[in-house]
Amino acid sequence: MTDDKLDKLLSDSLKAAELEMNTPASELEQMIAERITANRRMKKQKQRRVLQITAVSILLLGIFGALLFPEPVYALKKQLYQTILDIGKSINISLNSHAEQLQIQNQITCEVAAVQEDTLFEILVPRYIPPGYTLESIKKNPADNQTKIIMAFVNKESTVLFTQTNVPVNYSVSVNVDTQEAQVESINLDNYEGNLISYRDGSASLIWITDDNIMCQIVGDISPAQAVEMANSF
Amino acid sequence: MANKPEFGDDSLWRWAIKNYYSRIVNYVYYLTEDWFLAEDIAQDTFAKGIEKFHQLKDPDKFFPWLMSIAINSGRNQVKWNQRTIPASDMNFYISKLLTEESPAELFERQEMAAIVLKAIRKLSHQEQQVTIMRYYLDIKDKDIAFALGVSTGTVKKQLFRARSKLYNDLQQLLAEEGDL
Repeated sequence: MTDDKLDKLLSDSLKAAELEMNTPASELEQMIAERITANRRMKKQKQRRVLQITAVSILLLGIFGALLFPEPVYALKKQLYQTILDIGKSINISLNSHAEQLQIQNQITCEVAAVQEDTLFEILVPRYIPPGYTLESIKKNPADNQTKIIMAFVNKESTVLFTQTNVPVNYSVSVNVDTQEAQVESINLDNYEGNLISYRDGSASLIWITDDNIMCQIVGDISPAQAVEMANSF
Repeated sequence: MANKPEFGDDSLWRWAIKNYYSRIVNYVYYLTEDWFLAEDIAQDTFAKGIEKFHQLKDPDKFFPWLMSIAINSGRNQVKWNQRTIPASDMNFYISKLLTEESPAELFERQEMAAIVLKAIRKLSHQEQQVTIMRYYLDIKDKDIAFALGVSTGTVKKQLFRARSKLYNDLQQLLAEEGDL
C-alpha cells in the first residue's frame, strides 16, 4: 500500500463514517443561545462564589491568625488602628483648621460690631489670619482727630497687630528703616500699592492706604508672604 | 459548502453552525464515542466561540480556533482520554454510515471504515486527534498545531508516527479480512 493510497483510505473511511445531523439549524441556534445564557449565569455565580470564599477566607485568616500568631496579628492590628487614627487626625486637623478660622471670624465680627458704632469709617475685617493665631483684642485708640483701630492676634509668644487709621486726603507714608536690619519694597496688592518691610528676623510690616483714606498696617511676627495674604483678604 | 461570509458579518455564526457544527460533533464523537457528549461539546464550543469572538485576531484561523475551543472543552471531560471502543458501539457506529451506494458497495465501505476506525482506535489520544483533524477535517498541519497549542513539528511527528502505526495495523487487519 502506497502513502497516497493510505492517505486516501484514511480520508475516505473517516468521511464515510461521518454521522448525519438531523437537527434543524434554527433549533441548533436556539440551543446555542440558551447555552450562552446558561454560561453567563454560571460565570456570575462563580464570581459570586469566589467573592464569598475570599471574604470567608479573610475572616478565617483573621480569626485563626489572631489565635495562632497573637503578637504579629496584634502588631498588625495596632498598626492598622494607628493608621486609621492618623488619617482621622489629619482629617480632624484640616476640619479644625477651617473651623478655627470660622470661629475667629465670628469673634472678630462680634468685637468689631462693638466698636464700629462710634467709629467714623467702616472697620476692615481680614478673612485670612495666619495659622495658629487667635484674636486677642480689638481696641479703639483716638488720637487727635484720628481714630485708630488696633486688632491684636496672638499665637503663644508671638503677636501680630493690624491697625487701621483714618488719615487726611492725599496722606502719604514715608518709611525709614535701618537698611542693615530690614529691606523695604513697594508691592502691588490686589487693590492697592503697599510698602513691605521685611526684617532680618523673618518678621514683616506692611503698610497701605485705601481709597477711603484708611491707613492699614500689619506688623509683628508674621512672614512677608502671610502679611501680603492677609492684606489681600479684605 | 456555501461561501464563507466576511469576518464580522452578522451571518458568519449562522454559516459556521451550518457548516462546522456537524463536523465538530463527529470529531468529538470519533474521539469519545459518546454522541450526547459530542453534541454537548459542540454546543459549548459555539457558545464560547460567540462570547470570545473578539479574541480571534486572524480570520483565516477561524475553524482551527473553533477546534481549539472544542479541544479545551473536551479536555475537561473524563471520556475525552478514554479510547477503547466496545464492539457493540462499533456496530452502531458503522450502521449509521451515510451513502447512496449499492448495498454491496455500502457493505464493503462499511467493512473498510470499520477496519480503519478500529486501527485509529489503537493510536494514542494525541495521534488520534491529529489523524482525525488531518484526514476527516482536512486541516493543515500548522492549523492543527494552532488548535492543539503545540508546534507544527510536533504535529508532523505525531502524524508520521500515526501513519506508520496505521500502515502496519491496516496491512494486518486487511490481511485478516482477506482484502490484501
